Amino acid sequence: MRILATYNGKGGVGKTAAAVNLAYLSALRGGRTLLWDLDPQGAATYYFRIRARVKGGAKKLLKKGADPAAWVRGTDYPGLDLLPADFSYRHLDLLLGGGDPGRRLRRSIGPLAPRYDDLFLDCPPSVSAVSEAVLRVADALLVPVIPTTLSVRTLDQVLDLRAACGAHGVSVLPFFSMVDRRKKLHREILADLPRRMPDMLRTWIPYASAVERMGVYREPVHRFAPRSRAAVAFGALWAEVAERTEGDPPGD
Amino acid sequence: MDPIPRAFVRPDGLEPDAVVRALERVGPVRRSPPGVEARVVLDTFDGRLHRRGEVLEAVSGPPGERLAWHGPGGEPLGSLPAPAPRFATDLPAGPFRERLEALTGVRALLPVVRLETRVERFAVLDGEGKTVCRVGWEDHAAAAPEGGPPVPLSPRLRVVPVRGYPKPFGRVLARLRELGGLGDDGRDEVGEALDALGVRPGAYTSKVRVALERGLTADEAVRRVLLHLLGAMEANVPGTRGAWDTEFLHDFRVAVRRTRAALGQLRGVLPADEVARYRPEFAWLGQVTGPARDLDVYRLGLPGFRAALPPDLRDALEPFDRLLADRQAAAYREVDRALGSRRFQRLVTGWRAFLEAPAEPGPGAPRAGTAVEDLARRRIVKAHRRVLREGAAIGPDSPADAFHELRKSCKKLRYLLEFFQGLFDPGGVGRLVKDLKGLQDNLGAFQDLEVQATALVGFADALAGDGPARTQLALGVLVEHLRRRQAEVRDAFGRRFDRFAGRVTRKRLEAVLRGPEG
Repeated sequence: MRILATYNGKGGVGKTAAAVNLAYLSALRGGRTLLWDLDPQGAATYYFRIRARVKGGAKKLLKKGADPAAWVRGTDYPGLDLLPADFSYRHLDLLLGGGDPGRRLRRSIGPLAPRYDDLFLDCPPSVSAVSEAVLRVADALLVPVIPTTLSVRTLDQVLDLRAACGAHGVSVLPFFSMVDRRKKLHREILADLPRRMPDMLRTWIPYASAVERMGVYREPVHRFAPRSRAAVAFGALWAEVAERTEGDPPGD
Repeated sequence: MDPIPRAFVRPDGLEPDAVVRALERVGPVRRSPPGVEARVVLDTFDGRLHRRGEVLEAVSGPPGERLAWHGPGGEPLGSLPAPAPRFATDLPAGPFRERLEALTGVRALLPVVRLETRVERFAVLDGEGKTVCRVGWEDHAAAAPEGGPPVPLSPRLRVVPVRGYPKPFGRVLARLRELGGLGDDGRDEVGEALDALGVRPGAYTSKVRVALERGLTADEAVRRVLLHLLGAMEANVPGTRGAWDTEFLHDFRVAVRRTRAALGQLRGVLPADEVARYRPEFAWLGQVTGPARDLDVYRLGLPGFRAALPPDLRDALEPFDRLLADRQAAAYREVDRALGSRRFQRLVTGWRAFLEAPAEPGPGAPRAGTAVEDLARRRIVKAHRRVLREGAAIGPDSPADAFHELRKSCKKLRYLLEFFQGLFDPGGVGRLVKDLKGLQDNLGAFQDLEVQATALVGFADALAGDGPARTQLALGVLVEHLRRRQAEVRDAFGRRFDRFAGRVTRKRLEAVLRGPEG
């Protein structure tokens, strides 16, 4: 099972939109996919019209011997399941922290491995024990970056965090998100940052109304606007992510 | 535990509207327009999916073509927007292909049964508009893969749970049961279609499975074994002639080789003059199918060859692959001609008639009346001794031929063990075969490398002149690589052989042959 986390310490950069659309595409391409909405705000859960509730709360879910599959819900799309958010996730720091923060999360994820090909973790926007735990269990961190100075700074923080917690196994794959090419600054950073950051994904996600309308339709963009620029961009992004995290390029 | 989908048989007189009204008592219902799906159930010739209780089908109908893969309880194992592939490797890279490939290997996915399904779908929603249960109003007809008149099947009402929503599923079942008359025949339309058409995927296995009892005469037992092998040959003829996948020819050849081994190893059981008449015919079959198998092996080995090359030379094998493909096609045409010939027809018909004819004691068959277990013991002991003798004679400087001879002797021992396994403790025979297999794998690898290296040199000659220099270079690198591997395999031979010749295996063989009565 491949574990992909969408993460950025900053909020509102397009993490959840990426998690929802990429997980949808993973399932559409035949992967048995699970999206775990770790954010107590439950935006991903909302997009799938699923109630943000985990019976017994995070404590019971993360308990030793618990099988998270018991809380999993099928979405409306074949091959795509969701482990919903819960308000109790605001205490995840306490539950995952202490000692090796990756240990408990890894233990909880364990029973899911034979059932899924891809696990997406949609992380809350914070620098905390949760982010540290995610960094330690994930194969790749997908980091949406708005091409602004402040947002680029948070990318450096992700790299610092990786170094600080010694999570050398995880690849950090940043990509530009909410890009508005009419803005000069966006264009400049778009040209500049990849030179400094060779691991940066080539595909960028435009600032598009289709992404905003996901909240209205409560569906992945491909469901209601399959030919929109955003849908096309997410398709390209998924192909790139799949290739970069697979080892073998597709079609080989 | 998630509930599993149900496929009830619908009673006469039930109307879709009545179903919708029943479902609306659970939640709002979204009704999709009725559509028709053409479905083809796919499986390997040896039924690898069916044996696991799984169903893979290619579905075409709105919104397009897709593959759907289900587990024994109807639980989804994967879905992919793609047309029916011939091989798992034809699918786009990804987890679906990887999982399927791990199961099917080099075997082709062949159509098992065709279904035409007229379906109307109802989604039961919750307050958020989320689907919490799916219901399908389905009418099915089945047809054999090669066509033929469709057979109507039972109309069904399918109820599919959504993971994590067991309660709405239970409520839907309760409301539908109140309508009355729903039947449960313990299968779904795919199971019903297989029954209706008399199709049994996985009925074929390349393993030797012959029921033999102690006390049987050698004549009767050997005829049973040979009939089984003839059945295996015949079962593989269409797939071999059509080159559906490489395993047909392989299994065909194995059955021929087993037959030849039986005739050679079990002399004196069947009338000598009859055997003398058929042996050259089976030798002909082995020889006429040999080149095609060799080319299959080279082409199957190509990905490995490519991986053994430095990255900048990997594409240089293209002209080589084209040459192989041309020769393979020509070799398969030869095979097709041979298996379509009168000579082959006569061989099969005559051989069957001979094997099925009642045994008559004659001077040419002095051992016909021997008890089969005595014959089996004697022949196995003798074949085993021969393996030990030939293996012990192999030293660091022995020629490749010595390995080849030992390999053939190992095969003969293996076949004897398999023919007669029903007479002995199956666990014991299994362990023996495993011990032997370790040695056989080593010898097989050695021989394959020998043949490949020699053949590559030959191919390099054939390509000389019109092939690019890079291809020649790549072939040179490969020959070098194969020779190195061969040296490693040769080094490992001593250990493998010592293990097989050791006390543990010898005791095992003695125990098996002594039998349960001690």
